[in-house]
Amino acid sequence: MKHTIIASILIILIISVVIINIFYVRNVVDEAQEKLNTLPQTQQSFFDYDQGSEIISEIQKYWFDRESELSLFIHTEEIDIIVLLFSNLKIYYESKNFELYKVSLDQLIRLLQNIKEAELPSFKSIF
Amino acid sequence: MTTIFIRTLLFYIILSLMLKLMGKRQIGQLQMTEFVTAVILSEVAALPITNDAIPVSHGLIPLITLASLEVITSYLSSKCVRFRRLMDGSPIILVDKGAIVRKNMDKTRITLDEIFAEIRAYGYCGLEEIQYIILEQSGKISVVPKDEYNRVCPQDMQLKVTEKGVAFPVVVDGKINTPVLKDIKKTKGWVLNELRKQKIDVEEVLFMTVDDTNSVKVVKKQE
Repeated sequence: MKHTIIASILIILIISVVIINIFYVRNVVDEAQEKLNTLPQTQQSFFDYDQGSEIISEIQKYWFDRESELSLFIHTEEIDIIVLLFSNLKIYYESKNFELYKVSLDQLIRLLQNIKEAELPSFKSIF
Repeated sequence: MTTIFIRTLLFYIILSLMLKLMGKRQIGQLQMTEFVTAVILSEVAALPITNDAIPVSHGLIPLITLASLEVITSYLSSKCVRFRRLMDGSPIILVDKGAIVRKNMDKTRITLDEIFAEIRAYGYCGLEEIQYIILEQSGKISVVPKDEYNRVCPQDMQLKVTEKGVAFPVVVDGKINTPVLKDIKKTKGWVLNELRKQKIDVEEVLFMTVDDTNSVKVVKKQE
């Protein structure tokens, strides 16, 4: 009976961890995506906008601050790719290379979306 | 390297705790669900140990979930007959009153060769000596002989025997086995007194046993 009680508590604990993980990852990714969406998306706005570098640094810092918590739930390789893409995004923005900047930005948004979807219990993520 | 070492230690501790939670029965006598859990557990633990890109949680969550579910399933099986039948199945009679039950043999895919091997393993010569052969839920085959071929026991001979029970090791390699003494409701003083009667020091004892009739056997260490 004692073992069954411990097992039941462990199951409840695991379910709680899984739920916390879903909400935590979703919140972090949503906030990062929101910040990324404030960056210029078109060639015209890219050349007119001069706050990009600060915003990218801000998102980078936001991501770095949460990296250790995220590594509890997400593959390290995925986190490393995102860090690399942030660096690329900043370099391409500062060197005013719109094509490569846009590719990095789209990749980042897509990858963050994938991370969020992978944590949600959906048909795609389960099967 | 350090990460893998720490992860191995972590998984060793967690896996040991989980196996302890699941109980000793898992190692010797695996039911169907227990076998499935044991196989998956080893795989689940191995992945995050060897691949440090995988978060520890990806190994711990399935490991703890599987072990906990196994404990809960075992509990439900012990409390509910229907659930037990659903999870573990029922024993299947392969030989009924000396006759082979072909339908059950086909269902369980057990061959006549296997049946005869089991008969020989139990020390009988042929099917004519057997009353029942049963395939248990654990996959083990039980052979029950006909009464005329059954082994003679003291009761058949109407002999009076003394129940000796099990010999409990109360001293092993010069050290008093306190947990065993507690189980058989004896004290250290009793052990020392018994040894004093035989003029032996506890340090000299290789092992000392006592059975239900309080019969003491002492084997001394060799010089």
